[in-house]
Amino acid sequence: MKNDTLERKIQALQRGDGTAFDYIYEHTHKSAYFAILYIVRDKMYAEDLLQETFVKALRSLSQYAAGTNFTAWLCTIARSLALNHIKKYRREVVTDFDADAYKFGTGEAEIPYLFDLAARILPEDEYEILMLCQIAGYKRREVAEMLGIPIGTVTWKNNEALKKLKREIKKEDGA
Amino acid sequence: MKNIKKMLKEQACGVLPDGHVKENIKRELGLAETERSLAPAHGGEIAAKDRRKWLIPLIAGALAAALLLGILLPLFLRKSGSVPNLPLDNNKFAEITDADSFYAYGAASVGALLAASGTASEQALPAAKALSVNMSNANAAPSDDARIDVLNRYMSLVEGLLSEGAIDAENVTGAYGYEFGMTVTLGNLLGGGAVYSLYYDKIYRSGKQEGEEREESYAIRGLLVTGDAQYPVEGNYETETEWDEAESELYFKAFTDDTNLSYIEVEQEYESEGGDEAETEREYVYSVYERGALIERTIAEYEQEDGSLELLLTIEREGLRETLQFRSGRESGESVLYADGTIDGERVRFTVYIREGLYHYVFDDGSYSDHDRYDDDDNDDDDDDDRFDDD
Repeated sequence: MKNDTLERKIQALQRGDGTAFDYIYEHTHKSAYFAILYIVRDKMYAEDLLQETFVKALRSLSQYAAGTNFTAWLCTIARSLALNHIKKYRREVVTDFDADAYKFGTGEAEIPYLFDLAARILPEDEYEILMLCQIAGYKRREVAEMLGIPIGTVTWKNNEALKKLKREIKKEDGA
Repeated sequence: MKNIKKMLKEQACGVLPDGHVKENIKRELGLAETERSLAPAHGGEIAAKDRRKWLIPLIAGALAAALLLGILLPLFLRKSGSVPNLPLDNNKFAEITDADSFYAYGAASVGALLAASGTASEQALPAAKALSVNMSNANAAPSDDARIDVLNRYMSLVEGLLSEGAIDAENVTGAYGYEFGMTVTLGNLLGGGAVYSLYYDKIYRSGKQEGEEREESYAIRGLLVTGDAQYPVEGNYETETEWDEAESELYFKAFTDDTNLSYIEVEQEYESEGGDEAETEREYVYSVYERGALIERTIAEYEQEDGSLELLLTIEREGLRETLQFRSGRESGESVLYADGTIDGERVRFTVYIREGLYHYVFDDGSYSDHDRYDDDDNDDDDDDDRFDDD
């Protein structure tokens, strides 16, 4: 039902109804944001790229195949922009970017340690599910719809991510 | 070791995108054209009127932050001697076991927010509207009373959830054209309670059994009556069980205008997962929407501390996130609520004395404020006795 509403809002926006934007943004931006944050690990850059993602996506809304999965389409754009951002910095800065990507933002924009740890040790799908379930406040059913995967997979990956984080923190505490 | 979920939630405010991102996107897409046209700023009344449409949410967000910071940052209390007294078996959420009890809770808690946020005698004045009225009236700094009002909206809910005794629901004959009816009493810390009525039709949506998976779905449509005000409501009760995992998707929403775009909704988040690290968590999420836009989101959950029960409220609004932990107690024979939490990472504490018709807030700097306490028994509370002392 929620996907239907989102599709209706997208169609409304395509028809020029600007009031539909709020709904679309509120129901999709966190998913795109965490897809970006996983890659850039810097809040300030992630926000800029989120803005760029929405502007690009909504300006080319005609390319979205209605009735498929808008959130997944948006996240594809988001990842592409984030990866381009990383590539740009790889060209400009000679350093161990993989290990210290988050350091290329400003000091104020560094993300809290636990989130950085999650981005470092979790695979992308587990990270995204963890963020959507635990931080963005979505229900597992909603996350399953967004990502187009079974709810059982969401539950399993969410639990796996939590266990891995817990293990890693225990390991660090013991070190 | 601290719970990973809680650690993530506590640090979430440092990660989630700020509200300005959304506004930037709107500007860039030309969705905030009226505001942009003001950028050259030749001024003029017409332009100013247009701008209000876009600025009110921004102002609301900024002032909401200012309000809560203004109230609570001075509250670095070092209060001591309080004794928590609510036993663990008073967890109201544990009483919610089926659709009827969920809808009863929805009616009681949403009714309490609606009644507390507006004036019960004014038809359908929602929390969202009350909030935006407060914000839009405050071109400069909001009044001290307005600051307390923001906090005050949640106090009847906090009282209800920390009071002793169950949320009482009693079936009554349907009315207003609806087949079913119930009256619900939400207790308070002075031993009384507010009564709300819910009239509704129950709609059986679906039920299926597939292998080990079982799904049931019921919905309601009806009317919530709080004092003299009536709000159209709808709700959903949906559960799913697969092996040793269970998930429910439950919501109850009360509409606060004719467009169905403004409403207060409560959703249950409930997860029961088996395995080696079996845990059960339940929380209720309150969302206030106005004209389709989410204005405020508040999560209520119980926590067990030192063998007693506390209520944790997490309030999210335009990038600001505050968590307040409430526990009930008694001081010199008076019922009090101790609040302890963080706002933007800053520790805050204050005490609320609960008295007939008013809440007496005491802050760490010695200032205090008396504010109306919603009481369903009193239909004519004197609201002229509000005062605020910064001494």
